[in-house]
Amino acid sequence: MKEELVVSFFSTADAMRAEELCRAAAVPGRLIPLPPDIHADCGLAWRLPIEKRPELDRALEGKLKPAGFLRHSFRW
Amino acid sequence: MIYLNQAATSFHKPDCVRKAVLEALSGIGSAARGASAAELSAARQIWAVRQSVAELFGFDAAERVVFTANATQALNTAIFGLLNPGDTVIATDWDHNSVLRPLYRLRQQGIRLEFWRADAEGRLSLSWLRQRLGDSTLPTPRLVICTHASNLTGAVLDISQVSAFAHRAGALCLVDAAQSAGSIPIDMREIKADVLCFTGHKGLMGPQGTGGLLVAPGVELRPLISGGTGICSYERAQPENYPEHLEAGTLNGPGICGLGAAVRYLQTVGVESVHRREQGILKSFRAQLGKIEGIRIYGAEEGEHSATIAFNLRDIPSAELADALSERHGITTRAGAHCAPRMHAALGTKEQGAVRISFGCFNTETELMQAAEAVRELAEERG
Repeated sequence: MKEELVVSFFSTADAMRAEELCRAAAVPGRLIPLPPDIHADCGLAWRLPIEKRPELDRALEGKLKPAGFLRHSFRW
Repeated sequence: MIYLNQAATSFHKPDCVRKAVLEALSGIGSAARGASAAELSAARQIWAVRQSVAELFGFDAAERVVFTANATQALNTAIFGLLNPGDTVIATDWDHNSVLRPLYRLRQQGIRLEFWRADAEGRLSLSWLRQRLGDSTLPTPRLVICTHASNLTGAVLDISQVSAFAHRAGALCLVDAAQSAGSIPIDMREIKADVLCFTGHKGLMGPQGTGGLLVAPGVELRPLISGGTGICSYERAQPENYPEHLEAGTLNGPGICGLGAAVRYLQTVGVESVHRREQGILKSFRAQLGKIEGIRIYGAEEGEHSATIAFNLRDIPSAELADALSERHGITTRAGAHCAPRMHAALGTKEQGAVRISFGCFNTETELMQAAEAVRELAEERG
């Protein structure tokens, strides 16, 4: 199992915006389907290594507020 | 063929539109129906089109760009989503059946419908609206609906003024931009409309089956249709988030991608420049047409116009003249009532209809001059 950070969003539009902001700031990670144990209004989430959280925060600061952050264990 | 029925649909489209549709047909999945490469590609491309459309219209909330199949669906979404029994609504004589028929249905359910009437030249007087909205003895409307550019005379309404008058009276303002989007500059920051409805396949030159509405932040609409959105699947109600709130079912991905290509093309060319060019051609064409004996052009000449003009030749039925233009000169126009019954009534053309010539970005002045010459020849033949 591999533990990583999952960032959920309030809307699909926010997920799209977050991806743009992360790509522009070279924050690692990618969009994934929202794991079923996480509840949010959007079916997409951003998955990234836990230690990259500060980079993500800087990329989104003042531009987008995620719905939540959760550590999640992935099989792959 | 000289195609001069662009107010019905843009016959000529930039090559990038066809290319974008074809690429999407074999290159994207279904947006918000998974997070695999094909689905994410659809989601990203459709999101990019929302952003382009928002930018084109000077609109700050891309997530509130809602896609529909056409302007009719967008207008129905807005009208049924905003009005309740007992509400008063003001509509205009310029309005298309896509506005009128939903309102007639709602009138049967208890809305109060008033009309802002056009004069015999098809003009709407802003002072009438100001006076009506300032009259405290009459019910305050919930909504003022207006058509930006008449689909018959091409006359353009000052929608910033309409919106300002509506807001001052505490009403919302809904703009039907079916005939202006893409060919007349529209800036939502300036006009401050609450909802703006557009079609993708006319001035915007996208594929048929595309359109949408811009819903200003703070304005809430009841969904016209409910269904799958790919999110909040266990909730019984439609999600509150935009655009999903108003977008149930699979989107027209290839069409929207084509619309995106068309919008980007227009952003490169510049809508202002398209409009200026069309105004120039219209002026020359109107002058040529006006010289023909027995021609009656409808609508006042002054003021701003879209690339549309309506006329008749003496008392000849409009369908007959349009048919002769098509069969003998290869010129496509549109005769009849143009789904604008109240405007025809105002102009006195209910029986005869009118021939409408409408052109677009890719028509040339030469083509319009050929059309004027064809009308002149037909006029001379009929003595």
